[in-house]
Amino acid sequence: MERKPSALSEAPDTTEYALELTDVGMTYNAGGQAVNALQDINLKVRKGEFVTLIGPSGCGKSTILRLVADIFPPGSGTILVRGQTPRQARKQRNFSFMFQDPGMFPWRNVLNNVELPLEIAKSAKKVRQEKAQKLLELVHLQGFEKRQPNQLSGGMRQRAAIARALTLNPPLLLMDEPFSALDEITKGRMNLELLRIWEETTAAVLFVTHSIEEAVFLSDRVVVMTHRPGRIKAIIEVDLPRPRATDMAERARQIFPYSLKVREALYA
Amino acid sequence: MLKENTLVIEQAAEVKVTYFAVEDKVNEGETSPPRRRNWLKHLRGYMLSMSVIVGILVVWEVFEIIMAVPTYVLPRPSVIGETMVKNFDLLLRNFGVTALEAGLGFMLGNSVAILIAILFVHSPSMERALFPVAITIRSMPIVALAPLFLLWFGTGITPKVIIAALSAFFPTLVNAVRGFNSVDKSNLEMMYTLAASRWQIFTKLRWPAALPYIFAALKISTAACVIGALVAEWIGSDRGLGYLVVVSTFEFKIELLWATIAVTSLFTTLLFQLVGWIERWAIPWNRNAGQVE
Repeated sequence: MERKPSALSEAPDTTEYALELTDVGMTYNAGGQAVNALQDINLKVRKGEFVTLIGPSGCGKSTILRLVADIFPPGSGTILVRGQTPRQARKQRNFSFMFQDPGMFPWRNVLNNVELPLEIAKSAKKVRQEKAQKLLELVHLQGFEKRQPNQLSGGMRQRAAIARALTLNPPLLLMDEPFSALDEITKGRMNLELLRIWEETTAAVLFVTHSIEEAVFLSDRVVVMTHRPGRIKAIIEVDLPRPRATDMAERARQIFPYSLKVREALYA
Repeated sequence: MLKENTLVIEQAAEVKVTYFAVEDKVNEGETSPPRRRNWLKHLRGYMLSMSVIVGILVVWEVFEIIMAVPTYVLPRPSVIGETMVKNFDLLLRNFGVTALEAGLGFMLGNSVAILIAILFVHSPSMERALFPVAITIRSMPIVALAPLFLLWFGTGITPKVIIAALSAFFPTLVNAVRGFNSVDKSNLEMMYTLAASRWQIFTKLRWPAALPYIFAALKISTAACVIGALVAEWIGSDRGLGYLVVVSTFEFKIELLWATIAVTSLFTTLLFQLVGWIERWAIPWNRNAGQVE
């Protein structure tokens, strides 16, 4: 973890990092009382790196994603997405946001849901359909293009949501507990799938989760946060080789020591 | 530290496990098969409601024959039916007038309500400013307003259409606002992160999400429009089903009064069904749409 004395003294670095958070803090007003939600957040995510935020409920990890996504502005500090402000990055569609709820529109079939971002970006119909088709193949949903979302299982809907998040080839993926509504077994499979899909892209990922095993299995680095005000408590480097083990038992064995470290940091 | 971990893992290897031969098949839970339209089920629904109505009519008929109820108190269904056939031209002519008024009022009232709802959703300050006005208009009794509208707009079709429109306006406004706001927060955030324009958010998200609410309101307003048009005719008109109600009461033609009532409720039911059919066609993703009500 690096600390910069001043955010303003730093020239924007456009090449090295997918995301830079410098001295980010956030205070919000809850019923007339100022709540300090985030404090001294300094984090750099390299291009193509997979970083996970983990911490107790209310530690502000989802808030960090929303600050990066320009959904609300930080109280203090600076955020740079590839050297751009969150607003610039959003306007140029340089990141995708994935939510816990797959958020498929029930009035669109799977293919039309996946092509939505391209439709909003006003791509030609042929281009976006080809792209959506290709992505559905990548997430192993070929043959389900014409199905309505309510005809899919929860895991399949979340696969479709991954495909939708990738349609604009974003250099940064923001994922807010995307698998936490799934059962443990489906979640395990989706973790494998996410890594397989992610390895086909060059995107950096900032992932928020409550699950220690998920965090360790997916990430290059696990960022452990404290309860309110949310601060970074520890960063655990997971230097397991990629591609990660696909055998579940082997995987459990490999991640065990790292999980232990994350657990120690969380409860310390 | 790492040594201890290794120890724990090795201990786990000593747990007794029995394996069984099973087929290796990865499946993330079942997907439901494509839904098929069940026409037979619909037909059975209609048959059921029709047979209830026929049953009520039969009981009514038999009851009156046994009790010898005079026609001016309550005519038998068969007498009402006979009157309808005998006065077919008269009823049809006046039905046409009312149907036009109610239909135009339906379109006017609902269109204005939906447009104002769109305005409200995009401008909360407008909503705060104008919603009390809408409630005030709503709380004024239409029966009392009707003579004023006749005074202002004459005895032609205009005041009837306006009164029918006013009757439809409020439920649709309230439901459309609710519908436009019924979208999930994460869907709105997703559209925002995709840098979607307000127009795209409206057409691709808010509008389809609101359709089930809007259709529910449209169904309510069918009956409201017909009653509105009828009340307006009642107060000042020389044609229409409302006029027929007044005349037949005045001339003590009780059978004709009942025939008019029957035509009115048939018309309202048909209008309701028509909106239901359009609903089923327009929002096929909504499971609850267009059930037999």
